[in-house]
Amino acid sequence: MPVLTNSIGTYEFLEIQGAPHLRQEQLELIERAGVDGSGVRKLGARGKPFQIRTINYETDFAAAKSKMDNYKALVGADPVELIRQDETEGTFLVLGVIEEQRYAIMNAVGGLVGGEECCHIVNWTMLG
Amino acid sequence: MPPTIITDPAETVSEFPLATIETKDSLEDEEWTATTYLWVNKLTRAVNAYDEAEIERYIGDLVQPGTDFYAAYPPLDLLGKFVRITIPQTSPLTDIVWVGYIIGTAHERAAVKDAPGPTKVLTGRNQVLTAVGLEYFLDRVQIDSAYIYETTKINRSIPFNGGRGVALDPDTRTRANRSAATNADGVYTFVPNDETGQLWKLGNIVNYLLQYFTTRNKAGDVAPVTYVLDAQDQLDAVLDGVAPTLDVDALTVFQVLNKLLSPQRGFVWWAEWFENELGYKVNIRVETLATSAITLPSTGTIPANRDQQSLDFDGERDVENVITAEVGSRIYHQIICRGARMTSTCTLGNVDSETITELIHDWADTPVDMQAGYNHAAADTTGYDALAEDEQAKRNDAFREAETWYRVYTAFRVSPDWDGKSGDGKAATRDWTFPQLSATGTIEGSLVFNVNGLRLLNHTRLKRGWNYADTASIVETTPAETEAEYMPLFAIMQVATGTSDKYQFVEKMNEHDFVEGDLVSAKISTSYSVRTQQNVPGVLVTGHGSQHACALNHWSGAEPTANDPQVDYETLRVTATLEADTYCEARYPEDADLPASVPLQKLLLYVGDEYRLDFLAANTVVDLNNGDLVTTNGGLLRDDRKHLQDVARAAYEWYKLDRRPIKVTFRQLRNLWRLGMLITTIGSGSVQTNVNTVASMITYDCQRGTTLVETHDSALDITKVA
Repeated sequence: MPVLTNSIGTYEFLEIQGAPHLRQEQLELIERAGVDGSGVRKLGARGKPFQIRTINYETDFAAAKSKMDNYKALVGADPVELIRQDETEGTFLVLGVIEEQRYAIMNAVGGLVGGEECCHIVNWTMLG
Repeated sequence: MPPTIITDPAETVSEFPLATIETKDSLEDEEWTATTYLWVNKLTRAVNAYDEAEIERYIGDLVQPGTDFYAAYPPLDLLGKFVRITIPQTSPLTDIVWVGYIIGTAHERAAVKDAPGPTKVLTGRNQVLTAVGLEYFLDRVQIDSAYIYETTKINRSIPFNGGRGVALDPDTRTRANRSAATNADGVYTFVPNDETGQLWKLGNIVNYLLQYFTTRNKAGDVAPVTYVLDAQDQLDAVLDGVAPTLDVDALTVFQVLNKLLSPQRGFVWWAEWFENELGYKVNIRVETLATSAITLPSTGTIPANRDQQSLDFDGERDVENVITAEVGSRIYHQIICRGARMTSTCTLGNVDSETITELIHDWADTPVDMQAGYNHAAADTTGYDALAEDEQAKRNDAFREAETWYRVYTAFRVSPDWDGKSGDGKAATRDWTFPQLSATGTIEGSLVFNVNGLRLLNHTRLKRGWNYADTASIVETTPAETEAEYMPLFAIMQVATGTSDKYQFVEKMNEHDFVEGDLVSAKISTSYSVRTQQNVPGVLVTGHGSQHACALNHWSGAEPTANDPQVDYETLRVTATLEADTYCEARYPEDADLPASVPLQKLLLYVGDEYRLDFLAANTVVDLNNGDLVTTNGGLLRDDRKHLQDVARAAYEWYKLDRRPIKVTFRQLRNLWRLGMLITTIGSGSVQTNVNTVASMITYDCQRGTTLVETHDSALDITKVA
């Protein structure tokens, strides 16, 4: 199986865990105690804030730190495209990025991935 | 009747109507400009108050809802602009369209962030704009002038139905002051001097005010909009049954409308924007609070509300909540209306009579005999006995000027033992002064009264110069183009005796030659002023010069004076109007018609002094003719009791119904509700509840998508209506 693209904006990742909350019609339930049945009212299509987790390998910790700075710049920037497994999910606002972990992946034998020494895990809060 | 309102939208899935906002610098501008990134929080329409809209906008550097990019959104400068809010509806309902004027703006001004370069970026959060309905402009000009037919402008206001004088005339018969015809502007104005006034009806007043006292631009043209009384309201003559009296000086039209078309008068009003391809205007709409027509004493009516609805939404799911408030029942079993204190005009005399007790002298006999002291004067002063008589007289007259003696030969009062009957002040037949009167005016007995509670008025209820000898055919002498004055209370004293008794008004005492009779003294030259005592039912008859000028026959043994007594105060007769210890009063229903076995709740209304019961006692002296008494056959000068009973009946029509204010919140933004709508009942069957109140506030919450309908209860103030 070929390597599939996972990206947020221009940044690619090995994996994106979690799924976006896609824009969809919001409905208000119209109900009243003692009255049978329900109605709904359309409030407009919009998403809700959701969280995804990205995993990527970086050449070293400095590169991971640099990437993190780049990710932070997306907070407050225009919406960016989210691609999961080569499929675009649409554009999303980045509401926040929090680094979960960065750790060494080199052992005595060598790296799991050639030339990369750091695993970088980041939590993203986004809005569709 | 308007169609029944079905509140249930009858659709499982409904759209959320998104209100749009457009603005204009001036209503004369060609087009409305759509304004984005503003939203309506609430739009509140109200009767007798400003409509109000709260508009909000995110400000700062942000992604606006519906966009996908960051941008800077500074606060908008919309103060003083006109705004149109449209809440779209699905057929067959018509869009809710409201036009207002932005009078307020506030925003949360956060830190100013330094951006690269010289530009600073505001990082606020929200801007909140407040817009009011166009009735606002009716509150921006005060009434400082008046227009007399046809269009003569004078620089003071004139009270509507306030008569022709500067002050309000409470006499309902003379208060009319409207022109007979409309002028070139199509409105009635105030009556000119050479015409008979007509009564201003509510509608006449509103049209007049909207024509002449709305805001204008520098060129004198109406701006920003023309206000007119709604054509249908005029056609239905909603305002033609009421002719109120009102002083509007320095009030705005808005304030006047709130006085004239107030719930207390049985009305509500509101402004409605009207716009089509031909132009635009603001309609002033009116509606009544009455479930059925109320007949008014003025023979007019307050028509029934034309938009009455019985609602049943208990089984509908879009009702968020319903609050019915019990504010204390306003039901009354009987209405009692009181006008002015009843008056009786009569002549009282027989001063100090031992057989007929009417007037008595009002200076002390004990413990100090004031009259003896006055007469004795300066006789005990040093050197008095050595003086010549003319010198003694001077000293005595100076002594008698002291305020100590002011009551002697001057103060008279109604005797505490008065039996309540009066005639001509001497020997004529006497009858009840405060009679118990039948509906037709016949005397059935005497009302109860307390002498010390009676008051003499400064003016009688007789028109000055008129002949009241025969009350069935009173002779009026007032010129047609002027107004009669009330005759001051007056007093007479006897100046001639012998072959004929002759009297003179005490203010006009002189040595007239009456041909008949002999003058009671050689010299009659002192006249007197008459005024009422402040704290007892009595008068002060003050001689000009010497107060003992009326001490004839009471001067025996007195020390000398330069001014010998001329007439006898015991011949004094006073014609005055007395206020009784009862009112012009009527009640509805009659006592006999009240329900049995319930605690009766009665409402007492004081409706004003223009409702009167004025009685003229038989044999009252109403004038002098060559020194002879002119007496009257007596009767009712004015009897407004039937009129008052109409007032009571009109009030009863209001108060016999149970009324409840309600608040209903619907989870919808549909154009179902109308201001002025009278909701008679809610629910059905065994849970049906009387409401009988008028929709006075409709609030569209455009963020929650709800509509709050409020009705208000109000006590009808019939005194402002009649």
